[in-house]
Amino acid sequence: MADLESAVDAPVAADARQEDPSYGEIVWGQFRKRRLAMACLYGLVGLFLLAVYAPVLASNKPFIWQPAGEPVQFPWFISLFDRTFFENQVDLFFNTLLVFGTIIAIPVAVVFVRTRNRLRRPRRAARSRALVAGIGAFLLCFAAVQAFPVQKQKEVFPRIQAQLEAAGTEVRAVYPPLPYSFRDGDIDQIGQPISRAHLLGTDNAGRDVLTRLLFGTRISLTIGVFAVALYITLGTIIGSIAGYYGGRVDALIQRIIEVVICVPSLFLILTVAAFIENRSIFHIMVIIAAVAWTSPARLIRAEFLRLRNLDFVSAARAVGYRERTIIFKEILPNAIAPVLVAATFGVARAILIESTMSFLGLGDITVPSWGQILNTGRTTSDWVLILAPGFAIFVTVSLLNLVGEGFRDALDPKLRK
Amino acid sequence: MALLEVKDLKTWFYTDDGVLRSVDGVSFEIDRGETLGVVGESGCGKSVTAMSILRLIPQPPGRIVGGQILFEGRDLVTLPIKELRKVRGNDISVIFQEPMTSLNPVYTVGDQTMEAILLHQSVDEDEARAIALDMLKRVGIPAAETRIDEYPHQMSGGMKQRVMIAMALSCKPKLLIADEPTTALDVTIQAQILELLQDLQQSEGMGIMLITHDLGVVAETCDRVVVLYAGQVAETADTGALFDHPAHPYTVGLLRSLPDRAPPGSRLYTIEGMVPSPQDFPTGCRFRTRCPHASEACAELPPVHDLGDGHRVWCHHPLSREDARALTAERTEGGWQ
Amino acid sequence: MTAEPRPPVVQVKDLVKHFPVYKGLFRRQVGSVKAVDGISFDIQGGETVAMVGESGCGKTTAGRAMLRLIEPDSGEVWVSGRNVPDLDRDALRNWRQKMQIIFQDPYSSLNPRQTIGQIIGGGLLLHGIVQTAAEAEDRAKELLERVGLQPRYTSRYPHEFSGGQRQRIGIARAVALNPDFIVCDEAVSALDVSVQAQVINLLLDLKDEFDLCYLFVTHDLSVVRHIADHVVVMYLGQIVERASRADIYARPRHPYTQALLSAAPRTDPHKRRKRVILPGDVPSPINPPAGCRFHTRCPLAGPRCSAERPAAHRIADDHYVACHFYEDTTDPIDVTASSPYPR
Repeated sequence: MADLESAVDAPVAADARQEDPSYGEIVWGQFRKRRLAMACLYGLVGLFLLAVYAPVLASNKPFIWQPAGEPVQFPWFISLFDRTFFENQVDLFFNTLLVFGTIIAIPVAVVFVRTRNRLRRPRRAARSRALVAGIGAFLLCFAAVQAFPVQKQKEVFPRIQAQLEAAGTEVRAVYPPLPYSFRDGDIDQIGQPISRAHLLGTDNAGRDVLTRLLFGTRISLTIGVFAVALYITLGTIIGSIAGYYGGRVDALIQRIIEVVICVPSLFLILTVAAFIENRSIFHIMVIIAAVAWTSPARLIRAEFLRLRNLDFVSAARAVGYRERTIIFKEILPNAIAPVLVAATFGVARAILIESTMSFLGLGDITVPSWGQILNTGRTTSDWVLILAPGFAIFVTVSLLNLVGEGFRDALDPKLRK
Repeated sequence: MALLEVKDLKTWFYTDDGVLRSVDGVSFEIDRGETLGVVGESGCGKSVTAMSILRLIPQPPGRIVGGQILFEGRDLVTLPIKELRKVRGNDISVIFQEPMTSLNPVYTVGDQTMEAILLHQSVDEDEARAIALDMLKRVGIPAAETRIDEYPHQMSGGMKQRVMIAMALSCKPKLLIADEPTTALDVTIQAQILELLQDLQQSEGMGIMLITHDLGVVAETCDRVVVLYAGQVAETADTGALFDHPAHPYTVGLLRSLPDRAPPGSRLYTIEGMVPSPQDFPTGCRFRTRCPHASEACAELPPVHDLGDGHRVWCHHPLSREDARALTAERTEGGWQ
Repeated sequence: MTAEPRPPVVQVKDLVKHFPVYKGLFRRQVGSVKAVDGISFDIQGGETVAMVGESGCGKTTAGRAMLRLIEPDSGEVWVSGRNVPDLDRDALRNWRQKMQIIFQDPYSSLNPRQTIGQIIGGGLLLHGIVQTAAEAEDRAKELLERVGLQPRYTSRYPHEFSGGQRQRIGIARAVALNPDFIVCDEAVSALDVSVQAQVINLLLDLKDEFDLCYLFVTHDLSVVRHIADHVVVMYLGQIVERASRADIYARPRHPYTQALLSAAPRTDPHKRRKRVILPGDVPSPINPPAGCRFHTRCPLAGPRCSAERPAAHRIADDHYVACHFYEDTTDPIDVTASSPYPR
């Protein structure tokens, strides 16, 4: 036996203390080498932070409000969960992120930093525990926000302040840098041109365009991410089943996909949208998902057709795993990478579809999405209202596409070395 | 003068992981009418050597950084690319391991065979077709008159390999490089192809460089053998001498680990460890990490010992003839002699 | 051969697997690939049976159909006392513990997204051999050590290993479940000579240690000669000859076996033989030749061969030949003549 024991054990890449990278780490290492894609990823993170912290930058509620002789009030903080001000679930979600998300992120981040020198298995275990706990805590907070709706402030603070000060009462008030509401316009400020007070002017309802653009980031990112998550999930399940079982199941699913693809998706979207009264952005996400699931389904199917004949699948069957386990635990992790790349492009596409719908007047008029702003610009022939959201869409879509390309290249074994 | 003389060839690959010295100082020669076997395990540099001879190394990352490849006295390493093209396919031909992927699926085998003929010989299309047909017949393709117009997918693996050989030989090359020509084929087909190569060599008098990992193929077809290990020559000798009394511990280990030289069911001899990958080739003698005879001296580059009759070995501690015979003598018991 | 008679661990009776061939717009079935066409043999406990033949002879399909990785069309496969084709889904999943497989390609046979610990330990948990993930990990470590790898490799991924190391991992996965029977599907064919010797030694050791029997599917006759107790020679989905190893190599009786042995290159340059070169290719298994399937390439073929399928004649204890001329093949076609290599 001696010859065997000593014979065999020479690790491929020698050093024992230094762990070899897992597949994810290799891909990430490749991605990091692509400077442009990396910069764009930072850009996207920045965009996300802008969306989360939008109220810090722009709100007509003061952080601190203290008319002379009265106790200090914090209207901005209370307004974050005020249903009369932030009517939309998207805003409530982001505001929960802003407050509780920030609080929860700190201990999670501490765990991540502390475990960075540990070995892979304990590191992964600790990190995933922290992540699950963090997400759980966040969802609890969000549920609490839903359960206890605050309905309070109807005051328009800048106007009250002006009135009070006119009456001679000193007011101590600290506003965000942009002291405007994304929703309520100022009748005195309709159609203002670009000025120091309104960096991008105001629209036909007297709302500050920059503020609306900022809050529009929330809407666009939400639509992009949720619509794509929805259709990727749907497409992945359908594609996995078609690819794994093949034969008649596959043929049936393929025919369904062909039917869906044959219908021009934009017309379908517009037609369906026209039938829904009180469209909300959730309707829009569902509509986008309903037409877009076919492409991840086809990608996953093709990957499954390739992978299901590999020996490791036979090995899993020989060991005796259930088909469900084989499909979702053995094959799917190997098939998912190209879909995740497609998802990045998908987010960009979903944002564009929403913008198109809003532009054509089939969006959700209650939210300040970029398409809605564009639409306002179209009806009022105000070029700032067209160029500004157009530029925002352009930047976001470009960032997403460049990140997607970066990941695609990082995954491509041919491009390595 | 030898037909092909490779002197101290170095082909390195410049990658993210560092410089891979895949071929690092390989020398050998091939005479006219001779079959030279180049053997070694995966990663020993045998295919890179072959590709270097025709300068078919993907560049970057690969580069021939040193040495000479003298073909009839001309150095192919420095030959202008125009001149080199005249050599490729005309004086030196190659057949690859995978006949399935080496043929273009959208052209008939006749068209593909004629292409090289038209390129290198001053003949018109009818003549080229006649030559192609003649070649296909000579490599033993039945009903060649009709099969010349067939597409590769209509043929079996053995037939495709015959077509590849016909294409390679259509310009009457002086040297044929055969890179694992039978590895993808079944034994009975392999036997056909090897026999065909031997017959053609006798009639054409060309030199053959046969690259293989299969010592059985070497034993049955080659005149001389070069054993490569980790990008360097370990040993070179006449086939008979190499199998009879190998001098390099690696060659000895290889022969001893063959299952057909050991009594059935016995424990096979094994060489410790595994073939190192090019990024961690050891310094000095590259076999020293696995060698049972390794000493401190082996940290230096091994000297070459000339054992006579062209038997040379690069080793600090080559085995004597008697030791080698004792270690590698066939221990086969009954049957399949 | 084993001294005391034990009941066979594996018995295959008339195993058949045909793959339908469809053609045209309406995917009409126009024929079938007769990959495995009625084969029968036994494997005794502690024994290695080698199944040899050229590509397309159905040996891989046979191995996989026996384990129901491919559903066989008909026939019986008794493994450790139960007929595998009769098992329902749950019973089959349980019985898989008794029969495992080692694959040819060490690169595609390990899931690239799973750690070695998961690959080896997964089946242990599934079959309730161990109860917790920690126990599975410990057992995986023991097994890694047993196949000659470092126990700490359990947290690594397959791409970090060489071909030979991966094959050891595949072997560890197969023996982890403590099976009675393992199909080795070209398990050493893709390995370098020096690594191949290591893996063959390992397989031989494990056979004794775990009391296994192997079906060794391969085309490499020198490996077969080394590892097999019995040899089954297949040609176009049928068994042409079946005998003990000694008989096959010393006294091959089927012309195909004789040609196969003659064609295999030997590593003795002093005995260059005139090989028996079979003419032509293996015919398509979609429409295999009638009668004896070998008659299109057989040097002995007569009119009877194209008309009548030869029965398996028992010519000695444990030696069966499916050839009409089995009486005339005792002196094989000049296999032993050691003619000097012509120059």
